[in-house]
Amino acid sequence: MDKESFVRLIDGRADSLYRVAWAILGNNADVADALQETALRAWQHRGSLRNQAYFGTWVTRICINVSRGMLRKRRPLISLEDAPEASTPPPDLTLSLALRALPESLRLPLMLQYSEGMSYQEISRVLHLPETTVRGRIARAKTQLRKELEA
Amino acid sequence: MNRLDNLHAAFPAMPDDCRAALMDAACSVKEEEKPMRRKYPVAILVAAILTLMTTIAIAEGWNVLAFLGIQPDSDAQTLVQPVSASAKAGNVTLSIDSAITDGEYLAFDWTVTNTNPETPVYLVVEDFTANGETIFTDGTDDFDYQWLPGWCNDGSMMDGEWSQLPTLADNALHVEMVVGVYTPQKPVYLMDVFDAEAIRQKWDEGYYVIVGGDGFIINDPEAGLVQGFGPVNTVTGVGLSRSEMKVTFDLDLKAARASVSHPELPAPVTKDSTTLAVQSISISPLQTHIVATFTPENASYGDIVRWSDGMNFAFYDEDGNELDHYGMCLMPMYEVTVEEAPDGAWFRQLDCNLIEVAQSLPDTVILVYKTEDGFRTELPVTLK
Repeated sequence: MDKESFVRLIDGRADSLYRVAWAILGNNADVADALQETALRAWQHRGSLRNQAYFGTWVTRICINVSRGMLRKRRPLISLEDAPEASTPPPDLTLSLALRALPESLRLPLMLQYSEGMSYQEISRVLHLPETTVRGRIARAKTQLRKELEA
Repeated sequence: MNRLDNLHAAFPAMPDDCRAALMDAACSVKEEEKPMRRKYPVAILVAAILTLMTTIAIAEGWNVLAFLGIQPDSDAQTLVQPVSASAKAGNVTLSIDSAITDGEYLAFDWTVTNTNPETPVYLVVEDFTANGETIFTDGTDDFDYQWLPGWCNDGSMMDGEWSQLPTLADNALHVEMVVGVYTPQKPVYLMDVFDAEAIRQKWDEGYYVIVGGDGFIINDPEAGLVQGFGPVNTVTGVGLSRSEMKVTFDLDLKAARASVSHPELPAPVTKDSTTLAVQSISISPLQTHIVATFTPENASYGDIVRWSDGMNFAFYDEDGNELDHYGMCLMPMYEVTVEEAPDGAWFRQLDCNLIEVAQSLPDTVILVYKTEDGFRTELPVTLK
């Protein structure tokens, strides 16, 4: 993969990567750092990409790992009251809060399907879970999200 | 749920500084910078607890074919090798009953049991190798993790592993896996959904609080509030003791590799200045791996994007029935994206692995490329 292709592929995934990182980190300052690290790590590890057909799921997986890593680093310093907010509220704040209330194990599969339009197979690959597991988690996420929205 | 159809609304628009951070980093890379050693995607070991899968496991006996959803009388059975590997750490046991490989992919079942669910443990896969080569998760270094019993009320969790193998010269495959077992030093309260008020109440009662089965929120008087959804091994300082389980097993690759065949490729089909072609097929009793391409003549990047509106690769049988890749042919890997040829032309590529599950694949499948505006081209592919 040459640099021009890489930049083009990253550009095409920018909004999706932002949402994935935001779903994990929840604030733009950390998300910016995570996106920067994602791009650098993706280029550094481009040799692990079997072919460009997998770029979307591959780079999403890297973004998830980078974001989780940042969570671990910041964890001891965060309190519920001090958790930073996004600078720009999402259009549907109620939905956003309900989504954030879900555990990550349910939130990520749900958002990858409904927000990023991934198939069960693609989500299975991104999250490294059996497809049946992905289906179950999405079903459970929808149930819990419905409860949150009705509460 | 209509609001799910617009889940984008749950996220703020990407601010300029985030976009700049990403694109500046992407543009800053140097062409001459060599990529790191190729690493291979691997399905996460300690992952899901699905009521459905557990039910199947209990009803039919958990093994690698059950994990993959393959019928026991499938030809894939010929590639199954018994493993019978196990390890134990305190109240936790990890056992592997069987594995299957065709030399390209490896899958195996596993069962983890915590015989004392009153004392939950965190499990983290910390090392996983094939013939000494570490199998990473897409070039990054952390594995998934799981709280046990978590959602598993009986303390037992069954799942499996599906991963692409590195290129191995040997005809013997030696697999090693190390799972860290982390035990909290306080009673644990498992909470399904994040609820700050309820968490505080449980803290006051002296509990660690675990949210969602795989995330954790721990209150420790010395470390203060610890919040997050990441692997637990970074917080051993707040009251977790570690032990480990190591399992190893060996598989024969010679017969597995001999089972792989490469059928003759069909001639590409051209329609309306586009070409649909199959680039490679490899078939083993475990899986059918197909790489196909859709190439409009002299397509620019913009052209191929327009050709991709509502696009879809699909497989049909000869009677015109679309193959349901979930109910019939599981596709653990199914990727479609834009590729650039050395001559600068752009094309779409499908790279998929089909596993026969509820039914067998037909001898001939019809590969179809179709778009939202009604364009459709098809290519019969003989598999057997």
